[in-house]
Amino acid sequence: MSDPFAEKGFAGAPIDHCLVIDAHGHLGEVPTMALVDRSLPSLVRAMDRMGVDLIAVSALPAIFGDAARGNRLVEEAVRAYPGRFFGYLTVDIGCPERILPEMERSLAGGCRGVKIYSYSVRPGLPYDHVNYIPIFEFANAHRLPVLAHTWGAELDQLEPAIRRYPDITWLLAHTGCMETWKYARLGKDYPNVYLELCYSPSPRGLVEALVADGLAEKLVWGSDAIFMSAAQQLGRVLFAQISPADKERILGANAGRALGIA
Amino acid sequence: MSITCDPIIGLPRVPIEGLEPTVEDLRREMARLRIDKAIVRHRLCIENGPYHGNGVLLEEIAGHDELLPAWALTPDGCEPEFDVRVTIRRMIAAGVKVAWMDPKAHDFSPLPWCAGPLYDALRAARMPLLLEYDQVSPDQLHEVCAAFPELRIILLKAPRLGRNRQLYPLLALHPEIYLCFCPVFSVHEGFIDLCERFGSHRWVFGSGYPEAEGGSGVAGLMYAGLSGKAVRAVASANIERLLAEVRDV
Repeated sequence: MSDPFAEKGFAGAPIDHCLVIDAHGHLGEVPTMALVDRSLPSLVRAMDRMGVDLIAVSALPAIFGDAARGNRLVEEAVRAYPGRFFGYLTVDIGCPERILPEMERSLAGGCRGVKIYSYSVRPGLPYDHVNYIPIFEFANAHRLPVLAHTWGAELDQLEPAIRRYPDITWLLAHTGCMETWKYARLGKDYPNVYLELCYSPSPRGLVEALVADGLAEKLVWGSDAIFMSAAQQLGRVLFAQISPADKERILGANAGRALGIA
Repeated sequence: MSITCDPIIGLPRVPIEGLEPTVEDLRREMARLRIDKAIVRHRLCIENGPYHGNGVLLEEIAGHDELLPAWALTPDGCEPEFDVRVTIRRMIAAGVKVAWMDPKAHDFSPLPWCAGPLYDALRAARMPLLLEYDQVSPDQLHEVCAAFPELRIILLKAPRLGRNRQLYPLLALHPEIYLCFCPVFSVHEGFIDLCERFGSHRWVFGSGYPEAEGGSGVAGLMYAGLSGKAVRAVASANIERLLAEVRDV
């Protein structure tokens, strides 16, 4: 039977027959590499080619030590392209006095979610550090989704917060990068946990295994664009050997629920 | 028509969970992803020995014309001659038109003082050399290409490092460096930038078999924003051209 997702992938045609939400995107510059084109029009052009309706973004400068300027990049994108960008705000985790004022400011500026990043490739603080408490309290009070960069061990540090703050919808990024079973368990154990999929090696069979494990309602597609190209990550779902109905869930419907926008 | 240039078959000693990279599995994946041909390496070349693995590869793919063998080579060639030019003559006689090397597994320096005879023989045969990005440093690659400017090197598994600050200068300096567009080489607007900057003739397609979901590579190419002509060049025409230009030594 023909699969419209795969057929459109073979043709390079936009996925225009269902909602497509990229739950994990970025804006801005990174220290280790140049990006070919980090402009908003470039990102929107790429989204249009693929049929991505909305991308949820945080700013790379905000993640790496310049939250206020970075968050403003996100707020500008939300304003410049209404309906195409969902903003995650980020805080300077090492400066606790700045956390709540920046969260208040950025929420008023148009951000609707929070991105947290611990320490995988650059220095940071673990998710069980005391500095995270005001972030989680704030997000819980405002019922904000939190996209958490995770790479295995960070899940253990995050789980107490997942238990403690039930009004946060958690999106655990990079599902399957390691210890896939742990992501799967959290996705099953907690109704407020979703599993975000972006991972550059694009492991064969991972999406299928997670769906077979009963997680089709909990998987959300994300790309890490503009840090990476969204196209390869999209292909992981378009060509996955799962039903078109599950692809529709993973590509948009689940993220719509998780982000509170559909 | 598409040709994937990076598959490797053979069961690893340490299993890859859920994967059995056999000829039949590769052919199923190619059918699923509408890939017509594959340049194939054998994992035994790494885990056992290069020339043992090359022999097994030919046995396993026999009768499957859509699978094009690539042989692992070392600078000293194989026994009894230990003359890599003789080894390459044998390759060509056996219909093998692509080489690859793994200096780390096979314990040789990739620099010209050690691997020079290999590069010189490949250059003479105009035979493409597959090379995984992490096998050599950018400095080493520059030294090799400066010493052998006609050597055709196809880099596999380049990482997703944006507008790579080392790769771009290498591509600018060395026109016979080619690059495989594959799942892990995931750069926002990267393919179109490379095509605009260096032309569309220097890129080939890779599906990342067996570890990667090949659809990731397909989508990476199809949604890159390239013209139809450029897509066809990357998908098959460029590697076909390189294969057609291989000559006996």
